Amino acid sequence: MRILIAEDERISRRTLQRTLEKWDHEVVAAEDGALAWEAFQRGEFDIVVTDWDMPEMDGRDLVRRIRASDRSRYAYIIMLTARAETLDLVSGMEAGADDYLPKPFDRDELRVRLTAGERIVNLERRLAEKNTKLHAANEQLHRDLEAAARIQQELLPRALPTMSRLRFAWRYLPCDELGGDLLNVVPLGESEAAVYLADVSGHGVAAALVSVSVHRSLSVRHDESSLIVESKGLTAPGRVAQRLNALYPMESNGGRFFTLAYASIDEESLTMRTCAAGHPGPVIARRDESIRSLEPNGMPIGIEPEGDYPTVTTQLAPGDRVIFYSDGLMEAMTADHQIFGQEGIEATVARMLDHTLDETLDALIEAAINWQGSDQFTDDLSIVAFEVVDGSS
Amino acid sequence: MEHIDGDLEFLEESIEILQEDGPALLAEIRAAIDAQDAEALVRPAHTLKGMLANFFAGTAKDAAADLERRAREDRLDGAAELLVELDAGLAQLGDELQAFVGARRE
Repeated sequence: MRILIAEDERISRRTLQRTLEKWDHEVVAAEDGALAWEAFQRGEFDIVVTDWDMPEMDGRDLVRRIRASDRSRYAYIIMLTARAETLDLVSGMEAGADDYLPKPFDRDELRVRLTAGERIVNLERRLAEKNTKLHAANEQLHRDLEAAARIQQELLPRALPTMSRLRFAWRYLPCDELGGDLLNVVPLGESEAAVYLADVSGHGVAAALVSVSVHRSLSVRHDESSLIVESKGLTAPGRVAQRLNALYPMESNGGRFFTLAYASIDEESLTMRTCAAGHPGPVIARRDESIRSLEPNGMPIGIEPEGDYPTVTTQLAPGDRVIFYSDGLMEAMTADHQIFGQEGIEATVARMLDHTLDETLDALIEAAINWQGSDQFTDDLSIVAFEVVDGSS
Repeated sequence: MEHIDGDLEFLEESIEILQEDGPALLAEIRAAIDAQDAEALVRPAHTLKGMLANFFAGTAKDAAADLERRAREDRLDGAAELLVELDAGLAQLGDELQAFVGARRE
């Protein structure tokens, strides 16, 4: 082992050095604490044997400096102290020394203390090596997650469709790097669009994988396999839910299921067809300031193979706003477990009727943050909304 | 001898150091006592105490320890007497060690 000795008295220093060298250790001897500190900074040492009462820098300061240094390698410190100096012993151990040896040292005792020190140093070294590997693995995992998150972000609707009577907006705040929520706005034909928001149970990598897969399933438009378009037009939302339910049984997805709010909107007839499978129904705000929420009307997707998913048709009017959200918004919670809830969402939407749709979505997030007293959400939060504008605008 | 694993050569080296550093430390102690400077007395008394402990020189080591303690307590009464004791003890130790090494060498 490499051992550093700090001892101002020459004979004690030489005796210690000679003894250690005879035992095949590599020894550097310093004649006071300051010189020992310099030597310590220059080289890697397994063990430091230090006197306590030294000129320039005493043992306590030396130990403190060693312990405060950010060396990756652990140095085991043995302090030398006269038997009577109990107070030195206490303050030495408090400063960070690992062990002590009475002066003048007994050879057998010194050997035993060094063996104990070597054991600790080796353990510390193995621990440090494992920590380094763990850190590297963690970094890699973090980079992978970031890359996956970027891919997932790419799936969000970047360019919203421009339609003559419908204006869209959305917000997406995953609580981890990867989210289990997905949302999209898909223009279909001349005057129709589908809007959906899904929330995969749990969050993190597994939920994100399911969400990406569901996104892919819903993105096919011009193919026989499309879930959202059939030969006779847009698939009814209940039928979309039913087909997803057949595709994603929870036993094939690691026990994961998902809730889905799906709507198809025809801007000519201003009809909206929806299905809210285990998902909060959208909030519908009218220009006359009436606010209501549609009820969930089916089991979450993947739970019940024979699940029934009805389609609900709602007649819209100019000025209507329809807001879909995930339960991350609704379940924002105060310290005493009061949730923001449908009431909080409806109240915020009502308060923002004179503002733009984008401002309304920001206000919803801000209100949830204020409600829970933190901007850290414990679940993914997503909102997708549209409003019906006047035909002339 | 057990302390240094029967290493006669090293004992000689230690005696050499004792003969170099011992008188120098004694001189520092004497100067501090003459100047009635308790603070200046602490360090050489402490170092000499540690040095003497290596030779298990009980009486001389005790005198050095006593001097160090008095210096730390800032009371130098009896310091001159202890210095005389220490001086004699150091000389005696030197003689004994030389005799010991001489006997071993023969």
